[in-house]
Amino acid sequence: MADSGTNEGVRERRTSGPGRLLVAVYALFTLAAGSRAAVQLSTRFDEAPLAYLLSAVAAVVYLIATVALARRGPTWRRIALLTCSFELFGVLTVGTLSQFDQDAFPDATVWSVFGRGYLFIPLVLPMIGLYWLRTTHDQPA
Amino acid sequence: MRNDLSAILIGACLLGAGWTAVLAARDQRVGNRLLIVLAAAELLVLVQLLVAVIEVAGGDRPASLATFLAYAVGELLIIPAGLFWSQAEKSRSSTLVITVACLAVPVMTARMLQIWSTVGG
Repeated sequence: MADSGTNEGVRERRTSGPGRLLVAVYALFTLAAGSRAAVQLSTRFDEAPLAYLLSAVAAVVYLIATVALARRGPTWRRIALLTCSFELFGVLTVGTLSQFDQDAFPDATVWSVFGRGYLFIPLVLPMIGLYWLRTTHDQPA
Repeated sequence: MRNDLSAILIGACLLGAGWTAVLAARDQRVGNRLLIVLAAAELLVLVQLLVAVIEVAGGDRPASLATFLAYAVGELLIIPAGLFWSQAEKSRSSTLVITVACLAVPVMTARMLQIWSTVGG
């Protein structure tokens, strides 16, 4: 837990190289989930409030994850870890529920059916994110 | 939406995606000729948006107009954002950032064509 400040100002492996590619894909999904949520909430919120609010939550989580993955330092790393974990939890939960409870999810969100509408990238992305956060963490927990 | 215009746009983007993938594989950096392709693609995105706006103003309405417009405007951001993000660091991964951007535009365009196919229906 004793994260020293020795990494300050030094190039961090987590936020360079493949880490930047990860940020780019996360940014893309922030845009996809965000525009979808904006349209759903503004035009037909009454039809499926639960699904549309989830869309908005997904978009916000993608946004926070994008920023956290791009920023240096142990605090941002922790936030990235939290948001990536939440995403994996979200896509697995919504993916499973959307199989059984069609009434609650009549319209698609990015997480429906494990992100099938988005080439399953929403399912794979948090796994890659968590893997990246793990491999670039040089200090043992 | 004009199919021929969108087809050229998709072609330009796939060319950009293939090109940057080869550059990344060879560990080379983005050069000026590739930038010309990307600029042309971005111009086509803009023309596509203008054509769609004119058609919508003329009375053509796809089933989900809001979604369509969100895609049309959002698509403008992809290539500039990808270039901006890839500039800060010269690495193989930065070149692949442009590959991702070049693949995102055809996907969005295909989705727009899909939504547009509901016009008049």
